[in-house]
Amino acid sequence: MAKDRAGLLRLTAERIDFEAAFQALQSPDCGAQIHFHGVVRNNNQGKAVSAVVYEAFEPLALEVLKQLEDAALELGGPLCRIAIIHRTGRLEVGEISTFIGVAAPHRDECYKVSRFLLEELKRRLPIWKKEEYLDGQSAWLEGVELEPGV
Amino acid sequence: MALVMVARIKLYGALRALAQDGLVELPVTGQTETTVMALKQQLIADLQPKYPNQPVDELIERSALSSGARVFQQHETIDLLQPLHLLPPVCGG
Repeated sequence: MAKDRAGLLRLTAERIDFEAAFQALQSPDCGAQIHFHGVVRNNNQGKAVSAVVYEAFEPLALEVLKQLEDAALELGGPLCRIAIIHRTGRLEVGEISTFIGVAAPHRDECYKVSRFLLEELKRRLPIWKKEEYLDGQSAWLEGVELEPGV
Repeated sequence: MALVMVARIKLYGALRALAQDGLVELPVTGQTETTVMALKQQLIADLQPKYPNQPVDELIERSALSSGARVFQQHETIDLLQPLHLLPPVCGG
């Protein structure tokens, strides 16, 4: 079955363009949408966080996003639409770092695909996060080893 | 005059601070191909002595090597003269 590739997959150093994301999710076939926002939190593991710096390896990240979209359409069906936008650069507490939007004919596929995309993104997207703390220190966060063959 | 070839490996995340501008240059003598595993060992030999108090070896061993839109297998043979990227464990979101 042909895959609908009308989704929006993007890394950006600018504020997330929600209008573009919502536009990409529009479909008369879809009766449900879920919008997930990842937000920079003010604390992590007992330390007061002031900001987070995101770094990405874009060529691979964009390839991984395409693969995630393919997998999402396999999981949720060909009528699903996907929008994933991940910020890069320095974000203050409260800023939105990640947008995952899913549109599907029914809510069950929406919830399933949204959760799948978030977990896979954390495991596979070549992005690194450095936390800056109120005490002036900073640290790169531990992550998940990338699997070969992407 | 002998031509000196150089392998250029760009570093990301926590690895970036190990080299100026996050770029390691290793002279290539002899063959221009090696395995991912061998290149990682070469990087550890080059960088660990410069940072004896940091677990550089562990971080490099846990990192993946990519030429762009693909992550290489550990035992894969790679061309050292292509752009290479060393990617530590990831944590997006």
